[in-house]
Amino acid sequence: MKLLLIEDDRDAAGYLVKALTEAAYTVDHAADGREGLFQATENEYDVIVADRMLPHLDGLTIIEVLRKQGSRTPVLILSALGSVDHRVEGLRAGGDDYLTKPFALSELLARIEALLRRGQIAPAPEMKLRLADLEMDLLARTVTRAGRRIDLTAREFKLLEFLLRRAGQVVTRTMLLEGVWDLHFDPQTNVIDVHMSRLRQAVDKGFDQPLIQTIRGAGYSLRVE
Amino acid sequence: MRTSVLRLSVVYAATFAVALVALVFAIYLLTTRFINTEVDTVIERDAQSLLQAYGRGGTRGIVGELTLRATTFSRINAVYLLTDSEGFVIAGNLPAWPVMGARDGQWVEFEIEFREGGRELRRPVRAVVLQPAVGLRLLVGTDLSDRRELGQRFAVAAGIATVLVTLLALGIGYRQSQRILARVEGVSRSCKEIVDGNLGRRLPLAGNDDEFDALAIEVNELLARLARTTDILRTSLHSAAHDLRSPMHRMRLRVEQTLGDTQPAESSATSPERDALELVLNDVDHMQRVLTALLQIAEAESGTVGARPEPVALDTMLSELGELYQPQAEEQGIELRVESESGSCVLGHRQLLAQAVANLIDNALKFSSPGSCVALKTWQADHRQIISVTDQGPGIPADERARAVEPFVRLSNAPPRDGSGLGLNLAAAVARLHHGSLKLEDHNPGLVALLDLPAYKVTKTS
Repeated sequence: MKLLLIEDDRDAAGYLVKALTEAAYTVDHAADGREGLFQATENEYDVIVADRMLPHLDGLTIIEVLRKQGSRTPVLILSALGSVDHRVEGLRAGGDDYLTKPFALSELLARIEALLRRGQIAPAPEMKLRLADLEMDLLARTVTRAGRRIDLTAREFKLLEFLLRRAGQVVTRTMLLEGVWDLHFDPQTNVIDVHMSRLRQAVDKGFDQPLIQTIRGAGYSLRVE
Repeated sequence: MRTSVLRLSVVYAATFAVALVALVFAIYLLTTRFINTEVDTVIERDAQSLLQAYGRGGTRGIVGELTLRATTFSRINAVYLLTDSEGFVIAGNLPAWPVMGARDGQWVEFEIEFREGGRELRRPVRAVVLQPAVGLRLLVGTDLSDRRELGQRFAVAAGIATVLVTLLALGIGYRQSQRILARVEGVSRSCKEIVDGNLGRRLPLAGNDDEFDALAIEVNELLARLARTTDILRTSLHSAAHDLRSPMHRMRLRVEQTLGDTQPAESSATSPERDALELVLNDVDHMQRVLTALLQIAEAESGTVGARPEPVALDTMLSELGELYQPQAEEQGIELRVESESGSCVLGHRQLLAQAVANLIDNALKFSSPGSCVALKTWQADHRQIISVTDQGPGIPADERARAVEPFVRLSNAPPRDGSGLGLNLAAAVARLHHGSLKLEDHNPGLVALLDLPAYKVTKTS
C-alpha cells in the first residue's frame, strides 16, 4: 500500500514515516504544500495523509485541487486545529477524515486502515453481514449466532453493524463515538468501554470463540483470533 | 412591529388634529369677537344718529327718521322700535316691545318670531335700549341670523377640514412610520444576525444620507473593528493551539517511538523506563484534554465559533446522551432518568451543546453514590428552554456555586479528576455562547445544574 505523507514538521514527519513503514506502508514524504500537491498528482497513492497548515499551500487547498482534478484518493487530514468547525471545514473541502494532533499512533493507523477499506466496500447495498457464525440481517434487524437469536437494543445493533462492516480492522473509541453516536468530543469517562463490554456479553457469552477483541492501547476489533 | 406602525401613526395624526382644532378655534373666537364688536359699533352709531334726529325735531323728528329707515334706507338687518311708556308702538319694524324691564343704555338679546311661507321662524337680535325722553323708549338693533349662519358654516367647514386633514395626517403618518419602522426592522434583523455570530453582516444603507444612514455607517465601522478584533483573536487562538499542539504531538510521537524501539522480548515484561514513558503518554493525553477544553472555552466565550447555528432537537439529543451514559450509570448502580418534552429545540451548535450536557452528566455521575438517581430533563418555560441535570450527591457549597461557572475558575476543593477538570466551565461557556446561562442550585441533597437557553420555535414545513 502506497501512502503520501504531507507534513512540514520534520521531526514529526520522521517519526510518522518510521511508524507507517513499520506498519508495512510504502511511504513518500513531502515537506511542504507545493511539493505535496506535485507528488499527489504525479503518483498514484492509496491514501494521502496531509497536515492542514503547510507552507506555500495549505492542506485544504491541496485536497480541493485534487478533488477538482477528479482524484478520489482518500485523504486523512492531520491538524493542530481541533474544533468541530475545523473538522467540518476539512471534510467539506473534500477530506475523508480528520485527526487532531497530538494523536496516538494506533489511532492514526486505525483510521488509515478504515479509509483504505472504505474504498473496497462494494457499492451494492448489503442485506446481510456475516463473520464466522455471526449473522446480521439488516432488513429484518435481527442478529443470530450459530443459529441462535441474539437480542440487542437499537444502539447495540448499530454498534455491532459498525464493527461488522469493519470486521478485521481496529476500531478506536473515538471512531465508535463518531460513527455510532455522531459525537465529536472526548467524553471524560470510558462510556464506550461499558457499551462494548455489554455488547461482548450479548455476542460472545456462551460461545467458545470470542469475536470482539480488545486491542490494547488502541480500541477494539471484530475478528476471529 | 405592526402595532408600532399603528400606534405611531395614530399619535402623529392625533397631535396634528389637536393642533389644527386649536388653530381653527382660535380663528373662530377672534372672528366672532370682531364681528360682535362691529355689530355693536354699527348699532351705537345708528342709535346716536337717531338721538340726534330727536334733538333736532323732537318726537316727530325721530318718528320721521325711524319710519324712513325702517322702510327704505335702512341698513341690512336693522331692527327699530319706538314706543311710549305704556308700550304703545309709535314707529319701527317690530310688532311689540320684545324685552321687559330694560333700562336706558342696556344691551339686550332676544328672538323675534314670525311666519314666512307657513313656517315659524325665529331670528336672533342684538339691540340697545335708549330713552330719548321721558315717556319714550327706543330700541335699536340688528338681526344676527346671517352672522349666526356664517358662524355655523364656519364651524361646519372647520369640522370637515379638521376631519380631512386628520385622515390625511393618519395616512401620511402611517406611511412614514412604516418606512421608518421598516428601516428599524432591517437594522434589528441585521443586528440579530450579527449577534448570532455572523460578524460579516453589515447594517443596510438606504443611500439617502439621512440620520439612519449616518447611524448605520457608525455602527458598521464599529462592526468592522469588532470583526477585525475577533479575527485577530481567532488567529491568535489558532496559533496558540498550533504552537502548543505541535510540540505535544512531537513529544507523543517520540515517546511512542521509544516505547516501540525498546519493545522487550517478552511482551509482558516491564521496566522502570517503560513505566515512566507510559506515564508521560498519560500526561500528554491529559494536557491535550485540558488544552482542548481551554481552547473551546476561549472560543465559546469570545464568540469566535465559526459555524452558523442550526436548530438542535434537544429531546433527541438528551435521549441519545442518556442512552450513551445508561450502561455506565448502571455499572455504578445509579438510576439515570431522562424526561424531555417533545419539540424541545434550541438554535445552536449540536456538538458543543451535546458536550456541555455530557459534561454535566459526567459530573453528576462522578459525585453520585450507588442507589441514587441522576435525572436529565428538558422543558420549555416562557420562551426559554431549560435543561436540568440533577444528582443526589454531596452538592457544592452555596458560596462556591456561583464561582464554579465563571470562565476558567476551578473550585478549591475539587477532587482530582481524570478529565480536563473544566467540564462545568465549558458547559457555562457554551451556555453563554448560546445567549443562555448555566446555574447551579441546591437540590437538597445534591446539585441541580440548569442550562437556561433561548427556545427555538420549530416551524413545521411538512
